[in-house]
Amino acid sequence: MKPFGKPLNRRDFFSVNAGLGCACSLMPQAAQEANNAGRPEPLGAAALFPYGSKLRITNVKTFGVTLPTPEQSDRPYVFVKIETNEGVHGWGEGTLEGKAAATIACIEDFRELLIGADPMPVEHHWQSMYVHSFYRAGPVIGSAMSAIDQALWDIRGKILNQPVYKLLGGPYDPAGVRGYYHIRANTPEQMRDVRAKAKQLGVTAIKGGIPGYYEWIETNAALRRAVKHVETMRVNLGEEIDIGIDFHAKTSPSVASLLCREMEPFRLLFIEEPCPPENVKAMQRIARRTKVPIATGERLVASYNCRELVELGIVDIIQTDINHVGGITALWKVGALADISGVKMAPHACEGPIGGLATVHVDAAMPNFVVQEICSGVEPGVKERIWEEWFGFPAMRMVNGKFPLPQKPGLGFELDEKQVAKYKFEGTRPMARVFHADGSVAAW
Amino acid sequence: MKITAITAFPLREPQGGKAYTLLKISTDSGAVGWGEAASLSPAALVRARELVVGQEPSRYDFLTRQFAAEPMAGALNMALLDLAGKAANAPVYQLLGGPTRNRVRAIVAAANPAAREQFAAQGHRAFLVPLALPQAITSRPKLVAGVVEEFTALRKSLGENADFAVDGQAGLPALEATDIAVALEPLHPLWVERLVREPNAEVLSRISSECATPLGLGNELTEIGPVQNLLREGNVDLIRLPLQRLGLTPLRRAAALAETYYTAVAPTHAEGGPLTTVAALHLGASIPNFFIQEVPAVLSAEARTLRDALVRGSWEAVREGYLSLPTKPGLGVEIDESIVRRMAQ
Repeated sequence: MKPFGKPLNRRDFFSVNAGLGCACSLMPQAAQEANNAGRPEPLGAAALFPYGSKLRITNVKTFGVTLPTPEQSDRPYVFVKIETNEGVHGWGEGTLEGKAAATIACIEDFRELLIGADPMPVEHHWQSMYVHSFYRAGPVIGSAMSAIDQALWDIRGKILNQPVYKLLGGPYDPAGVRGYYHIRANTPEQMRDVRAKAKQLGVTAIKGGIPGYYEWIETNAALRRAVKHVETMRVNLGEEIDIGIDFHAKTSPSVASLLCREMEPFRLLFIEEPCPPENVKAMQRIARRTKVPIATGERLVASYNCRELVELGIVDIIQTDINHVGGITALWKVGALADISGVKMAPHACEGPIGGLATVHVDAAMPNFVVQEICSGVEPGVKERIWEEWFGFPAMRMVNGKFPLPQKPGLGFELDEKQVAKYKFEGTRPMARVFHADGSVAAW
Repeated sequence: MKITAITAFPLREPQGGKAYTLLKISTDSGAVGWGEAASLSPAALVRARELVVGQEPSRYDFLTRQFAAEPMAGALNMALLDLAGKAANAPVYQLLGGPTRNRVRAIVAAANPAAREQFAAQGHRAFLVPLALPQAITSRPKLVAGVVEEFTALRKSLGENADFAVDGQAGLPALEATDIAVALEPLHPLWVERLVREPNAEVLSRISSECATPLGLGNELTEIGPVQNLLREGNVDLIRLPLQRLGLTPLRRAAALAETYYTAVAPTHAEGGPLTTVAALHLGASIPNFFIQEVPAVLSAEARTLRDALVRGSWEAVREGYLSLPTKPGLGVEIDESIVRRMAQ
């Protein structure tokens, strides 16, 4: 049986009252356990077989991918390819900056849970990975889960013969999802070049940062420099472009409160991560003192960890990342709880192209979607050319300011693993380590 | 190493009149540890001898806690850490997990332009400036306008490479304090402290909801427990705690809590001696969320010379706004006992 190439017949994959599953469920518990020990069918999942598909996961392949680019050298990609007994496979991404090898190892730790399982009940697998991890999930487990979850959705879409955004109820906008590029310009001239190029591309939003590193209380000089930088950006990018400013959690609530207030006249789309994420009430100190929309969440794993931000009215825009939050399943759920609470979504994406393409599906299906990030500039570089070589189309490049919606089933692309393997894994690389002038640790 | 004797020396500086007591702890190894307090009662000394003689200095945390909220706690903690460092043949900041930085930013209280000029010439780049309060407030707008005028001029005179914090001297009613905090925000004081006469949580909460001027709090605390209240109430931007009174370990504990609120610590130290300044260098060099260390304002050259002689080194000298770190074991300084005798009250 071919998974695609001809219209899929649902009956080929689903059987309500036949097959392996029933046989298993009729076995006594002890026999089932024995069976489980000897064979790769996980206990528990078998109980769902009568209501699932006949598909079984046969292999989980992990890929570490180091691109020959100086930029983003801290984030070799972590990809997973999940194969099934019917030849259908799915791709997912769990790139975790600075922790590639740990994430690959964590995906391997989930292998036992997956081999022999039906790939279709993705929520069941998500729950099992999260709950059965006991410690729930931090970024390493979250990123590993994200990779697996995306791959399962890719398989699901292919089996159900739909692009994932249609399974999620989309698209809200058939023209695609609005995106923004990053600006790396420092001088007014460079900024005006970005403005011209953005206009030419139809790009309507740009994100930048603030210069330098910040102590938890700051001097007049440092505060003025930051405000001046953003003012220069507004003046030179013009009024027609929406500007987001990323504080990158390198400011304390005290410093961020001052900066947010002084940046109010620049009419920003949002200020992102005004302080680190662990202390939600500390971020509330900032939110209650400024009118600038606050965006945050790229470091959060699972919807559970977004709850307090929403509940306390701190966040205007949630930015959870499909490669860390727990994949498509978790990103959609964050969007759901945000929507109910009047909060919008602008997912983070600063890793590889699989997560990028996956997030576009979720974006297309969220009523509260604002804008999608991609860590690229208005001009494509080496990285973007490799992505195009992999997928045969310019992945994660905007057309008229929007990421086009994939049309094919699943995540909507084909990827040859030999093409991926061309860029060998050269090991984990640390994220940038930066320091203040007195040698103390700084955040960037 | 076992503690054999504890002695206290009440001292007074002839110029300027700063007074403080040095605590000397002797051990059977011959090593001596020194600490500092504002003053120590005879009863506290008796109790310290009872509890501490015969003990190992490495129990500095346990022993300090026996004197919680008493001035003895700070002096004892300093002296025991001095000994613990000497026993380990390492500076105190290494004992405490440091260094986290290679120098310590400094601030000094300076009320008038002449004092600021003199301190700036000595290397200071940050000034704690008191609010000049009128005898009676007749007009709130006039008061606020006067303060704004004064601090606008100050900001201008400091230029781009110097900063100021504001000491409200705990003299303003809530309304005036709020107005002034709001008015000062655009001038970027590093922080304002002791702004309100009655610093209850409601008033502070009102100030911090009406402006983002950083609030320094904690100056008057004699124990660290209430730091939890300050942080939880969400009004504090900078923890100001008296190092001499509380000791290094309690401040380090308070800093550990403040870190979880992304809040920095800047120990107060206005009236004490040079040994507390040295102790502060070790705290500043070992906690991650240290911001700035207040150094007692000493303008007289004679007084500065005497303080340097007492600790045998210019540890209060500031270069480009920063103090340098000691590198010798313990607190890293030797007390000159001939100077101690000369300064004895």
